[in-house]
Amino acid sequence: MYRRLLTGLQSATLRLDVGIQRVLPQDFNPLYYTGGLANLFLTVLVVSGILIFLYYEPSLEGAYASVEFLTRDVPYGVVFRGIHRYAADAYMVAILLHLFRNWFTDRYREARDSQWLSGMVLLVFSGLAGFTGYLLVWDERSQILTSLTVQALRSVPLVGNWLAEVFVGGPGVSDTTLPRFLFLHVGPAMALYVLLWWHYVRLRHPKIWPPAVWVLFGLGLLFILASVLPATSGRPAQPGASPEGFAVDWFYLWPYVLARWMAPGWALALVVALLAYGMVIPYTLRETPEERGLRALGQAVVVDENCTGCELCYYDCPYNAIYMVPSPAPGKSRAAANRKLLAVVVDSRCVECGICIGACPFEALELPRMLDRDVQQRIQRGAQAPAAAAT
Amino acid sequence: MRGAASALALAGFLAVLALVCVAVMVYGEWFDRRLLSSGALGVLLVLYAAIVVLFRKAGITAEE
Repeated sequence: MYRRLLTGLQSATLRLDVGIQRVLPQDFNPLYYTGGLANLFLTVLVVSGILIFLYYEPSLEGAYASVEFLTRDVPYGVVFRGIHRYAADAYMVAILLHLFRNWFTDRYREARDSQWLSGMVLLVFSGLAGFTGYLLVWDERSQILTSLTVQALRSVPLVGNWLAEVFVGGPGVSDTTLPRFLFLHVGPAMALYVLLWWHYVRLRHPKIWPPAVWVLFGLGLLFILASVLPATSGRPAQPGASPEGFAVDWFYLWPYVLARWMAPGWALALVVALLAYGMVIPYTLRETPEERGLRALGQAVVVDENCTGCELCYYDCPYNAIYMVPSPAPGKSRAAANRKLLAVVVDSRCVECGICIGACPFEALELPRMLDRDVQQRIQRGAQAPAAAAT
Repeated sequence: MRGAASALALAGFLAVLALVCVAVMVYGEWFDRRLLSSGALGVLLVLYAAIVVLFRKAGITAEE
């Protein structure tokens, strides 16, 4: 049942690609650049966040007033605030599209589990940075979100009270709370760039930036939204008050909607369970090589005497598993006699896919336990599978 | 050929709209209506994006 569902979603995703390409040129298909679009919006968030940071005062008395000053009295302050707010939503939309697209098209299995796991950690840090952004305004919504979060954290067994104290910077809301929220907003946001390095480290040709068309469109959309629907605050937070309702932003605050029907602790448990499931997705329903009738092939090996240093394998390897080094000696074959470079396989990164063998016209690479003919058949099967799924 | 001509005609129309947006931006800045200015800037950027797509459809591209 689950497998049939995933197969249907894969087919629907590929059909969506085909449909979009009837309207837009193939290299403008936004679904190819969901990761790049997330980077675009993250950059907008950082730039607009720095501008907002210049005016922000992290204190119980000053936070709300400083945000209002930025919104009402600073030239274009309301626009920067709106851009920051809507870029956060657009960023979450882009990473969710990225996540679902890669999930439904099976781009998380085998050697890509590193990208999937780093993506899930990026999602957690992005959610934390986004959620704490709502607290910094310190209006009524911030107050009730803080209260619900403290309740949820306190319900965690053994370490609950400690977590709640870490969250608000003491036994209750005090002057240290807003600086703590500011750190929980900026800290995870800065960590995103380190996590992005982990996300890209095993990709040979990651598309980290969208085409100019989508940069222009994305920025334009943010300016339009910030102007037509300016970001505003609610009423200021009141010490000791317990406001009831609050405006919901579904991208970041959906767990708090659940808290209307269940105890905050259970809502937190549900979020943790969903994230835990997300982490193990690459390892669920995965067939072992034996189940698929494959034998261990051994990592690719460079045939020293044939390598010409042409770099074709280096550019084709999608797993960044081949490096070019200065050649210590000329190759023995005629084509390799004047080589300057030599290919070297990084064993820990090689996934035995055989793509380098298909890329090399000089028979300078081989999978030691597989015949060249088998590799060619395997590559052809891989190339035909997506086309068959799309039709 | 006819498709390329209509794409270019539409791009030309959008370019005129983009000029109107520039005028609106100046008006908004001059009379302190900054939300209008930034909204016009947003529309301008979206129009530029549409013009780039239309140029591609008309076969005008920097890539050879």
